[in-house]
Formats: sequence, C-alpha cells, structure tokens
Amino acid sequence: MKDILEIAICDDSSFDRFVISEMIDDYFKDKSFLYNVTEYGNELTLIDDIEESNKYDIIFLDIYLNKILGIEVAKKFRAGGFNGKIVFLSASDKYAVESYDVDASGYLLKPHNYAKFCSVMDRLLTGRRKNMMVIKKRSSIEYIPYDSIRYIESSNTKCMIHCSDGKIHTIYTRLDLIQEELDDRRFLRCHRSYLVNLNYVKCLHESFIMDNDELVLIKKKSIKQIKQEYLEYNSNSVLKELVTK
Amino acid sequence: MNIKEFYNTLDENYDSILDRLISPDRIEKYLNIFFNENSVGNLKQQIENKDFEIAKNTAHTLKGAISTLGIDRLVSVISKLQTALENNEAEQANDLFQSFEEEYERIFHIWTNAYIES
Repeated sequence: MKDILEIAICDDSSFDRFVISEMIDDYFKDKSFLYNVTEYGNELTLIDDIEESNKYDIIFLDIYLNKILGIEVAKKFRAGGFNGKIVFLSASDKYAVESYDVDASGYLLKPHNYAKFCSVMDRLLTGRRKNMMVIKKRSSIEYIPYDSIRYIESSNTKCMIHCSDGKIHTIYTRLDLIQEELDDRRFLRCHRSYLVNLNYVKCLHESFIMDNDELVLIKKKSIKQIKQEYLEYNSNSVLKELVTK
Repeated sequence: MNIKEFYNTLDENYDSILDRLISPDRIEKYLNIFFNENSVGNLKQQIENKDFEIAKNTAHTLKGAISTLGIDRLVSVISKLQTALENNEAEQANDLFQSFEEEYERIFHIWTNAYIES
C-alpha cells in the first residue's frame, strides 16, 4: 500500500529549484505523505524520463526555460499520454490562459510566495489521502490504517499510537499535529493527552471504556460535550448502517 | 545583525518579504543560496564575451531570484540590463552591468561582514 508522491521540478535556475524543493519539504513536514523530489535543470532529461516511466504525479515546470517555453514542453507531455499534474512557474502571467490548454493544475507567479504555494499543494492533494497514517522511522516506514488505531496517547514529547493488534507505535510529535492530520470524524479529542477512535469505544462513563477494557480519559470539564459528540457520532453511524441495509 | 536589520540596512521592505516567505529562517536560507551562487560572475563573463543571448537568460534568472529575495533596487537595475541585452545594446549593457555589480558588491559586503560574521 505504498503511496509515494513523485514530484519533478524543472527549472533552469538552481535558485528556483532550491526554493520549490525547500517549500515542498516544509509543506510536507507535518503531513503523512511520502514523497520524492527530482530536480531537472532543463527539459531534455525530464522528457526522456517521462517517456520512459511516466512516473511523476506532479511536475513544477518553469515557463521560460532556456531554449523552449514550458508550455511547449507540457504539450509534449500531454501528447505522450502524461496525465499527472502540471504546475507552471513564471514571473509573468502571459501564458496563464494558455496553460488551460494543457490542463495545468496551477500557475505560480514569481516572486515566490509560500502561502500561495501551499494553497496549490492543498488543491493538488485533495482526495489523495488513503485513510492511512504513515509513520517514518529511522530505517523503516510503517503504514497504519485509521481503522486499526484504537487511540493515541501523548506523553511529554512523544505520542503512542495504540493499535487494535496490540502494537504500540511511538512517534515524536505533538498530539495536536496528529489530530490535525487525521481530521476524521471517528477520532475525538477527549482529553489533553488522548485522541480516541470512537469505533473502538464499548461504553462511556467517567472515561471511555474501550473494546479491550482499556480506559481512555475524558477531560472532566468537557464531559457533557464529549458525551454529546459520542452520541451524535453513534446515532449517525447507526443511521448509516440502516441506510446501507 | 538579524535578517530584519539586514533588510533595513538595505532600505528594503522586510515586512512585505516576510509576508510572502512567512519565516525569517526561510529568507536566510534563500539569501545563503543566492550569495553562494556564481550567477553574477557568470553574467559578467558572458557580457565581456559579448555572449548576449546567454547573458539575457542569466539576467532573467537572476532577476527572478533577486525579486524573490525582495531586493528591489537590484531588480530595477537588472531589469534595465535585461532589456539592453535583448536589444543588443553593448555599451549600455556594460554600463548597466557595472552599476548592478557595484550595488551587488555593496549588498554582498553587508551580508558577509555584518550578518554572517556577527
């Protein structure tokens, strides 16, 4: 189930390649995406690579390459069956309209702007999440389906992901960031130190009692609201099941 | 001297650069890359060799980098230089390059002496 996002940057300016590459790294810093960036100083090797493997999901393509316009290069890609996303980079909006002809997904104007870059990336990656949490370790990568996460517990600088198979994965990050990344209704932040998967909750008293009888704490001050959210989630789930049947 | 003071010394608008690039660390990283490249030396060589076609591209690339870094007074000179190169105006290109180089050297000097070594 590996899902590595292959990204190419084609720009004759090494400075601009550095900028885009750095922005990509920064953008993905707190996201569970695996990605690989390849830089091209001209279009020739990129054209060869695309003809050979068609592997890129996203290409950042400079409009004013030394000997050819990026638009013309994109036309070649499309004619050859390339169906990945193309984002143009240019100091001028002269080719913005023409970029629609090659089904461009974005047109980033220089001078570079990080917020605009991020908004293009957000758009490109919509729907690409696979309900899978990717954990990068020093020498390996683990893929954890949301379905198998029972709850996540934070302690000082680390978070422990408790899974339904009994495994506990430890990662060094903040629970806030994980919560933001999971962004799925089944996960409820019930305590400063806990994010619970409601599908594994057996019942609720002062704490959540999980299917394996473990306890997940609930913030005392918010217990009323948490109960409400839990009940709403359950009633929605039951309704969904009834509709499916 | 921090990044903000560096830009203030150049009399450039730091806030608008920060607004675009979001973090001072990023601006510093980009400045480091820019000052470690030899694009200005390459441009000088190309103009001396009257290789205007290549010089035009180098000037275009430099203009992009400098505008990302928000050093507007350099952008203004290199834009004129780029036009002179496009029009094959050798004498004007030489004069403009000289102005550009002087300003670049001044900024480079501030960067290396005041920022890097502090």
